[in-house]
Amino acid sequence: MSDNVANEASDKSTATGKNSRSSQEALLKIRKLTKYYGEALAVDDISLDIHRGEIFALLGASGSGKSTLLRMLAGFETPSSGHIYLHDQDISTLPANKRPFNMMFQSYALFPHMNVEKNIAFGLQQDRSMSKPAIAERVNEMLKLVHMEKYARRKPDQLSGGQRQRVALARALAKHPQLLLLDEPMGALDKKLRTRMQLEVVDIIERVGVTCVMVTHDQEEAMTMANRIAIMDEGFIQQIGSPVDVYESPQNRMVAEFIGSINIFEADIVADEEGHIILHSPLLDRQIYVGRGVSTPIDEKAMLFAIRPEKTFLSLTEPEDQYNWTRGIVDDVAYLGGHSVYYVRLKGGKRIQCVLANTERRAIRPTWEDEVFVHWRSDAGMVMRP
Amino acid sequence: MMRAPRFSFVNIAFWMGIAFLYLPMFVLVVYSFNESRLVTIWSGFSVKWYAELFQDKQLMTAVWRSLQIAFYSATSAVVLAIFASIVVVRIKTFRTRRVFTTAITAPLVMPDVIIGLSMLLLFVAMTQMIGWPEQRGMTTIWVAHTTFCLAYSTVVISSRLIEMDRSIEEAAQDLGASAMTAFVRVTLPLIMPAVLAAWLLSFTLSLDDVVIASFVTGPGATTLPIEVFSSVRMGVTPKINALATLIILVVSLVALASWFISKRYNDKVAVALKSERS
Repeated sequence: MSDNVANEASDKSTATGKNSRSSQEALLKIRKLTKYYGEALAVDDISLDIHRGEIFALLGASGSGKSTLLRMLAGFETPSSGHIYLHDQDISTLPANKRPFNMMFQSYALFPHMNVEKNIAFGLQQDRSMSKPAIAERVNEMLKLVHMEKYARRKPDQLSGGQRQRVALARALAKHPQLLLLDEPMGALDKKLRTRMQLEVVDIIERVGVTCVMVTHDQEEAMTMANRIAIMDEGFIQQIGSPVDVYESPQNRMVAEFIGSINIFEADIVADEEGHIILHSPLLDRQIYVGRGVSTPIDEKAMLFAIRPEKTFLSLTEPEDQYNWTRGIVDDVAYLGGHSVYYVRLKGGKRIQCVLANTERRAIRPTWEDEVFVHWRSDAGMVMRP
Repeated sequence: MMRAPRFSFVNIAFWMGIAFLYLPMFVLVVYSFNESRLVTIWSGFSVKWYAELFQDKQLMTAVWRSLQIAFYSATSAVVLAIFASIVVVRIKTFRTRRVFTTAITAPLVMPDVIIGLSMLLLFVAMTQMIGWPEQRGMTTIWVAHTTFCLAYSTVVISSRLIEMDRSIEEAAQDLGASAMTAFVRVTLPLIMPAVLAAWLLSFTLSLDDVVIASFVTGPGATTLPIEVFSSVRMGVTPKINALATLIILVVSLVALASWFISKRYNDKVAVALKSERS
């Protein structure tokens, strides 16, 4: 945790507005979980708690081990070592059909030969104690929950992508699982529908109040849906935190570069004083003034200074400030409608990104080959250990 | 607009192809209604060969025997093929899977004569060593046919099983079904078209086989192809034509029915999707 020397304790509960329902009580405890496939290490000594009622996202590129971890939670893979505890009971070796967890699969994995109703009823029928009328009642309840009453008799191949997803969600929720697992929940949908379904799925999950672990490679999806995100890379967790935490206070370079875009400079500390530090980077014209309380004494001089593109400003005139700006040439401009991304070449040849919000319809803006000045506020950047 | 000439190359090639495939069968069907005893001379319409066919005890027993053997062989081959396919699909290492697949499907490329001969030698050796089979006959044909039908069935079923999304079966287990329930209620219905196709293929192959059956058959167990084959050597009677016509009729009806069923299903899907859009 001390990796981030200029870390602010961000307010978790107000940051997302979604955290109110999740308590700090751990529903699931994962301890030292490791999985080898032959020689290859897929999951490397992971320990983490899933809190009751939260939506927890495992975010990582393909091959990061996130899917293996999810499959171990579901019971499709047995861990090589380590344990999973549900209510302090070890369930590591319990097979998938005995776990009170249900999963929504990436391709939904609906039963193609059964209609919507029968798909949802399938899980309930496995429970011998449930009577037929009770099953029918529960199926209707689930159909209502996902607004699919009209399609009860349809087969999966007669449904659209969004409708299939609703059925898959209803099927996974029908048995009142203690934990809902989502594997790339929006993976099979197109971009427009994805945004709508993200909010709809979160809405349903919150209404039911089920704890949820999801796996995704799409950071936007993780940030929209989850209360907490774990960034995974090469089998272990790089950082766990709220979406605001991982975006605004990444603990290391990997996390910073994985979430969103970021400009990173190697910089040396030249002054370390009460309330602020001053760094020098050979790539930047002026020194960097970071005005945040430094919690831990720093013994090393070589650090990384990182700043997000949207936290920089561009101007055509030279700033009067002593610190925090540099000169550059506009290399490329990407006009994206809502905002523009400027690629600015610094004197050392390094290209950095700056984002300008297009708040005016036709303003005069820097263009190709213009000399510009990139500047930022003293609290906009972060200092990390290399 | 340009019209394709009536005698274009494509048209002619098409009709020649059709003629090549169906003319022999057409001739056979026509001559089954021939009055004359001589197959090559038309002397008037008659159905008397059909009547004679049903009175020919020997031929009818052979038909019945062949149907029985085909039914049992196809059924047992398909059951074994399902197990074999599951194993093939579950094997994770590519190399082992390759070896196993090749081992199972080798009879596909093996000449029938060799399969027949080796089966015969095996049965003879077994009779000497363990006293079973006491006598070659229907049972030995059934065993031999199961062996080579198994190869074909495994190819058909495993290709469908490999195509199937594994997560569908996992979903069933995730929802609380045991491995057995998941297989019976989810996997089996999904591979059913392939299972039926494999069964029909095996049934046909078994019904069709002369070579292997001739090797492993025994006294009093003449199958239809052997019967036909040997009777042709004595000279073809139009009875055989009548029998062949009936077989063609049955096959056409089955093909037509399966086409009709799949068309009706596709239409239903199309209608449902249409109402969706509006």
